[in-house]
Amino acid sequence: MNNYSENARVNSAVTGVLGRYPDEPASLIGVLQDVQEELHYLPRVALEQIAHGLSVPRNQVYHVATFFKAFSLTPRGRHTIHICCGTACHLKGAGMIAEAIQSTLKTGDGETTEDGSFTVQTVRCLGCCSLAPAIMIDREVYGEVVPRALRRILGKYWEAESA
Amino acid sequence: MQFSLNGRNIAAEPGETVLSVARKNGVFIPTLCHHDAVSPSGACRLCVVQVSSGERSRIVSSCLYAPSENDRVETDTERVRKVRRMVLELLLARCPTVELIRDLARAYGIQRSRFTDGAGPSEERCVLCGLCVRVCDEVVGRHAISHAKRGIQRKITTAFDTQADECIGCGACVRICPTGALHYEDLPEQKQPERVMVELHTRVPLVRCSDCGRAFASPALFEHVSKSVNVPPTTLAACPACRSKSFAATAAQNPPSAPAFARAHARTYQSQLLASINEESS
Amino acid sequence: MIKTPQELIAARDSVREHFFNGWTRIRVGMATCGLAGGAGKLFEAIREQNEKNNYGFFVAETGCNGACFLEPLVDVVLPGQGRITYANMKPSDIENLLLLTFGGRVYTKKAVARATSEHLLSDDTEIPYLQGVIQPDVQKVPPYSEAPFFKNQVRIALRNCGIIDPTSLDEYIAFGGYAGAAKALTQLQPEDVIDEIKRSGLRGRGGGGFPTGRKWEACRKANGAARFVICNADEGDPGAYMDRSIIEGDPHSIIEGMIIGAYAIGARIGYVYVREEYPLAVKRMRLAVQQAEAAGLLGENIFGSGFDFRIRISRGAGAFVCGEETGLIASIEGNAGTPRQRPPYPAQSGLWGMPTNINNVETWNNVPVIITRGAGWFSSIGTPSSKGTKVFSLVGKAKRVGLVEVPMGTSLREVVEQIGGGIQDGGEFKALQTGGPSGGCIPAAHLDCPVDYETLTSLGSMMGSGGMIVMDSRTCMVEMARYFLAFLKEESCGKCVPCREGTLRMLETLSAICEGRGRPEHLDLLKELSEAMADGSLCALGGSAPNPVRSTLHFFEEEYRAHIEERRCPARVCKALIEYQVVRESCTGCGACARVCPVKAAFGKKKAPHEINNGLCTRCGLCADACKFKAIKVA
Repeated sequence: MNNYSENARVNSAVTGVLGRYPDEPASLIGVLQDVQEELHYLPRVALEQIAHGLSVPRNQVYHVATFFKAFSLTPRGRHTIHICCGTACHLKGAGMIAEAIQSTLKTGDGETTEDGSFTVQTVRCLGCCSLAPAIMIDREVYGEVVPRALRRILGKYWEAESA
Repeated sequence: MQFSLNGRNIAAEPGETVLSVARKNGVFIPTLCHHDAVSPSGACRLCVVQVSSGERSRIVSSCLYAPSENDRVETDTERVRKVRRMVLELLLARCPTVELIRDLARAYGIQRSRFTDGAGPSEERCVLCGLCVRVCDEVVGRHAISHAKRGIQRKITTAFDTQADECIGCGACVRICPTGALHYEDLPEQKQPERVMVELHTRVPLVRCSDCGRAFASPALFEHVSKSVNVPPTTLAACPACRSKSFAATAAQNPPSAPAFARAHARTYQSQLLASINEESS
Repeated sequence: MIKTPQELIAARDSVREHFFNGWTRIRVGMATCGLAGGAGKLFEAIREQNEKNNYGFFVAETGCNGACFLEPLVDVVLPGQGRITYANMKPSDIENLLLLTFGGRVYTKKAVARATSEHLLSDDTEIPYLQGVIQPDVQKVPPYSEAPFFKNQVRIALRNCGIIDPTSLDEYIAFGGYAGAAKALTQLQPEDVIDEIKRSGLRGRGGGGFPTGRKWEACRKANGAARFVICNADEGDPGAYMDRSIIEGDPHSIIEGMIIGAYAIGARIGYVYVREEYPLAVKRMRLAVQQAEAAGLLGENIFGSGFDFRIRISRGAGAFVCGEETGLIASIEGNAGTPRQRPPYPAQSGLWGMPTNINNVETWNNVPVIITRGAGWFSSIGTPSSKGTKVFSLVGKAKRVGLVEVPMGTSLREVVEQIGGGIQDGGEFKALQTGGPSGGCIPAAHLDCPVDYETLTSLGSMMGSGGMIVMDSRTCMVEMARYFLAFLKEESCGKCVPCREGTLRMLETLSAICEGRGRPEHLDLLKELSEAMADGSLCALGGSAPNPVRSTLHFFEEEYRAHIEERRCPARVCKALIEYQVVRESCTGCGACARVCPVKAAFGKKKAPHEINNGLCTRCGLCADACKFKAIKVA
């Protein structure tokens, strides 16, 4: 995709989201969340457009976008794997799960696989402590994950990717 | 409104902070992130004091805390000094080369930080006091400088870590910085003279003085100053040196611009600060 | 539309009739935990069987009843049986379950508890399910009042969770919902409401335990052109998830609590600040607000009282520090969630500088029943200083894990042993971590202490939002402290020096100890740093950040010393101080370990005992996980 059509795509996504919110600074985080949801990340042009649209200084938009863990300024994979690092998960081997996922996908925390299929991210707690250790891929939560089950879980997404 | 400050009964305006009252009454409290020109922040925690009301006593930052009736405020108890010492030891580990931090630390009896053993030398000069962000937001009104990220990764930068077109090269940030973490460099000999805001990834074009031809300020700064002090931009076409020559009389009555104010204030304040610490600890 | 209290009662009675005397009904626990356990497939399987065999029952979802160790859960409500709860259900169980159920029997293999009636807490009525002839099978299933895990609990906050359909406003109303709001708005003055809450003794369920009524009063009395109420649903403590469960299982209870609070305080607009990491909770909350608006329970002139109130939903974007009130407010205003010094408290100057009252999910959820049942009833439960019940998420190494709700004052031992069933896999209890990253670890010697705000604080921990993580002898307390500091270092906003620099240095020091580089003077350094951070930090995050270190140092100093002086991790957790070894007698030489080892440290000939090269080994533990013969041990 060339730069021009990419910018047009970002522009129309941001315009659509801005249309759903009042033009006020308080809308900022909601707008960022919705734009990220659509584009899977927050490209600079989107942030500039949001700053302009909500009359928020660019320095504030940049601070907010880099402060919250949910936002990414670089492109994310088509699927995001959230590895829960809550206390219960930690106690039950979340570290091992994280290592296994990262070594299987050859990617570090917060990074995206080379083929752009997965972004791996540790999160503070998914609130599924009773099913520790837990991971969430996109919006689906998997509980009582063991390293040897990972290939099966990830396989589902790989298949969907190659189909 | 009455409260006690180090045992003395003192009258204060409602809403006035302990720091402000203390300064008026000649009681020294060290600060790093406070400046009268901008809103208080409470970030550095060096200005903490101990406040007791009834049986309870707690530590608050004096730059933000407005005392209540009958509060007993102590500015130099052991509990207060413990916090200040640790803050300075932590800052010394972060910025071991910053003179001001080293002096302050020494004044509190800290020669070296226990947190740095095994670590390589750090050239970090920024203590993240945020004065530059606040002066640019609140005084200059340009919003050119940004905090970014959080926790230990928090940093001072510009939006997207690149050229900030908001910047007018006024230098208020450089002058208000207590640790010399920000600089600018003028390149007057270039075909298009520029001011480089070194740490802020930003270059601002400079114009030459209408009289002596020295490159000295940006068109954006002219516009800004002309608007904020309501003088025609033509008055500003000459550099301060040439201007003071030709308008010696009027220049003396002009109110100081924010940068000049900041510089004057920062200088006197820092020397005051060190002088009084040395006095106290000697 | 429900415009008057009379219309609410009429709606309640008509749904009640249907709910208790209606057709056979099957409910699947479909909160996030249920879904993670496979409830989605189960739901589909039930629906499929229903259509295929023309059973003609209603199938719907419900929230989590707290027994997460039994997920996925299925409830069957049938005349002649009442409500029977089936646990650990698999799609393959469904055919048998339905065959037996519609043959007049009970699928006893998986039935764990039954209810012949429901106690509707809001109006204190007991309504029986239509009873036919009680079948003999049913007798084999223990009633809820005798079933393990459930029998020691008293449910106020979780009153509806796992029983009603959270997507149905009708069912919430059938269970007495919105009666508290109707009473408050039409029969009580705002001051009376505040008085009732004050007398109930309700204290904040999200952290410090500040008396709710006093907080409301301060906000009501503060000057301001507008006032706001906020529900803090940015549940942050890792290891606590009761707020998620309440929103997912009973979202209207929060809306109702907020209506009552807003009326008492004089607020016209409320915000629910809910974590984005809880997508289902966001969805349920949005739906509930829409339903309440459509029914006239939010909007203008609620219950004809002349009181207007609306709720907006803000989503948290992943910052623990936004659980701090001023950080949360900054974030709703569109700023980074950086806290500011209090005072002024939000009650004086909060959202956009206006008086603002913030309570968490569980606090708001308690409010409606206090209004309907009265302060006297509520304050008769609990201890002199801590009233009512508290929901705890009992997780970690306990046998039975899930959400448990007990009266304040219940002993920790009762929670861990009676409800939690003790330690799994025959392990030995070591400590109970409460209060999340701001809390501490309580050792076995203090297990008989009652749970209430003051006791937990005096033990160097805190109530927090109610996380209760059971630790056994395989948990290293130094590593636990290191874990919490790693968490806090990531979550510090970075504004103030003691928290930003302090969490970093504390983590570095703890890491040194865990990695066998600890020095004796590190213990004093940790203590000194703890004290300065507690005193000097700007907000509660930094102020309580040293708690995990302080409490473990207090109760488990010898474990720190073992790491430092003997370079030994007694719990055999710290990677630098352990080795993986093959038990030769148990190893069959299957090669599973060698196949999973990412660094080729595990090796050996086929069918011969394998070995581990500890020079190469990164202690990732994958080999031990892969070994089916338990032939890899940690030494």
